[in-house]
Amino acid sequence: MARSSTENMITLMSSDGEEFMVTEKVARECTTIRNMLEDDCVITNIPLPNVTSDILSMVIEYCMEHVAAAEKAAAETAEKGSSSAPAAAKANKDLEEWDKAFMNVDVYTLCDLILAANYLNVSGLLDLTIQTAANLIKGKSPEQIRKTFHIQNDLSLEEEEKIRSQTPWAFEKSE
Amino acid sequence: MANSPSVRRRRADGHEPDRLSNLSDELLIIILSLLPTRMAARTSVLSRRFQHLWKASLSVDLTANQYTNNETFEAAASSAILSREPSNSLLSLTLDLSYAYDDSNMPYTFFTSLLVKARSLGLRHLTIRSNFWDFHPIIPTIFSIDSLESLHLPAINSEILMAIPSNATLPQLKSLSFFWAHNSVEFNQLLSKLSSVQYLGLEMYFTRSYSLSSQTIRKLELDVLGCSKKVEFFGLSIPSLEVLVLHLEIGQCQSLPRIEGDMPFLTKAIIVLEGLHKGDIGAVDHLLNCVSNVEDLSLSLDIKESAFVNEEEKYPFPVLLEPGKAVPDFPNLKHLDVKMCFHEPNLGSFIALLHHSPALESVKLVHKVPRFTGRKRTRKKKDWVSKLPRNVNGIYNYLNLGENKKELLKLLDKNVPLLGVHITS
Repeated sequence: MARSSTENMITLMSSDGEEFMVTEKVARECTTIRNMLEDDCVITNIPLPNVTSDILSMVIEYCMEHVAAAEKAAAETAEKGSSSAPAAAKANKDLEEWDKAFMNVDVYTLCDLILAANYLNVSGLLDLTIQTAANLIKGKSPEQIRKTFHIQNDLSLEEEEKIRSQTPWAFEKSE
Repeated sequence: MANSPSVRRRRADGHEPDRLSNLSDELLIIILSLLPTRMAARTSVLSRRFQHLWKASLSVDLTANQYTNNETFEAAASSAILSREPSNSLLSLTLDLSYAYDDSNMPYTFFTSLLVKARSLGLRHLTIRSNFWDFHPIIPTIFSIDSLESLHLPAINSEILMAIPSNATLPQLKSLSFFWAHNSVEFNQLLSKLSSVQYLGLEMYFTRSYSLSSQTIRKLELDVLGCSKKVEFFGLSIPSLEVLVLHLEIGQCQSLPRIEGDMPFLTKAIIVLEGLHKGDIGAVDHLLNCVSNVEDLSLSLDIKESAFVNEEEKYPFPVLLEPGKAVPDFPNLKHLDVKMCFHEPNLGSFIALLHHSPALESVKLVHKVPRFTGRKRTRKKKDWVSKLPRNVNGIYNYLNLGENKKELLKLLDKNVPLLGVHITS
């Protein structure tokens, strides 16, 4: 990546000790890190004990893509004095497509990404992952949802029947 | 993702871990809030952990016709709203009653109790959908929910407007939309009271000449589904308007009303006019004059599609600019998007418009062939073909100022300078 040498680099360290060098701009996409940087502006090495290296690399990938898209839009605005509506619409659509492809992950990774997005406070990524999880639940029977997310059913048959009887309307067949 | 450590972990310890249950209650509740209430409630039997989570969902979304009858729907609404713990705040409530209740057996007191409870839970977004039923008995309760930020209602009429308490202000309300079947002065009075509203969405029928006025609205989406009789005039007195989206379908045998408005801060207009007649051009002109401050303009102009056309409408007629009249100036226009039949008269109008748009940066043109229906072809197809010059790909209905410089120059009179037009390529 061609970056100006004056740009501050931040090192993020995953729970398993892997180090990721990112620009301050990318790191600032994580509100949690932005707040740390604002509290202590000389900090350059940030340990993230709650995020594994594979998930952290994905979060960084997401932040870099979104920073790049925002920079591109800003550059176009500066060049032309205003953003071109059709170009902006296309850029938005491209980014949406990118997000969609980015969400093509297994449920384990998805849940870990939700945790990381929440911990690092990356609101765009949190919205995206939460919506993806909701879409995986939508239209499924309880049994199918359990299977999708590997949820262990710790309710006895009697308990389950009792819960069902409290909200029979939720289990009617018609959709 | 084949090499991700989570996959390796799963293989190492032999059984498949439940990652979803790793999430905090707070995160699970946000996920459940994105589901219709019926789906969210279903998660109560997934495991002990999930049993009560759905009851804290931030939104309740109930569609009556997904339930076997009105009683089960009411039971669902009861458990999701009336039985809700006061500590579980409710941000959004959607009640879709379409095709469920008929007017005679609307349980008004039940709906009032739902709304009163929702009010106590700090409701911010309320959407009610239904067919045409008279819901004025619940209106005073709706307009007493001072925490509302957005409100979408089905058709409202004079009686409903009258039911709104005179002291209602809804101080947080930013977005308001509904189907509006009647014109009335009371509506403008309502808008002046709801002084925080910035977005107004209306679906409506024109029944007579009318003026819509507001000092606060910045974005207006107006969907006019027809005119029930000849409407002469429609006024937009909305000085703070920035975005106008107008979709107007001209009813049978009616003409486009003269639309007037002073909108000095308008930056974007999307205008879709369907069913235009030859005689409507003056009104189109008027409308263009109203929006001449915009930076972004999208125009879609469609003529009346009918087998029974007037003798004079058999031949191409302009719908964009009135011949012989002064062309409006578009001093700020940067992006222009036009969808219409680019036959000769319209192409001439379009070129005139380009000459009056000195700041133009991009143009997108789509030639729309009128779909002449009916057994008898009364119009000759060849009169209505596109007169736009072909571009290199042979596609002549698409033109981008940025990319098709040659085509644009060919299109325009070579001796006329393209003042200030920014052409890249």
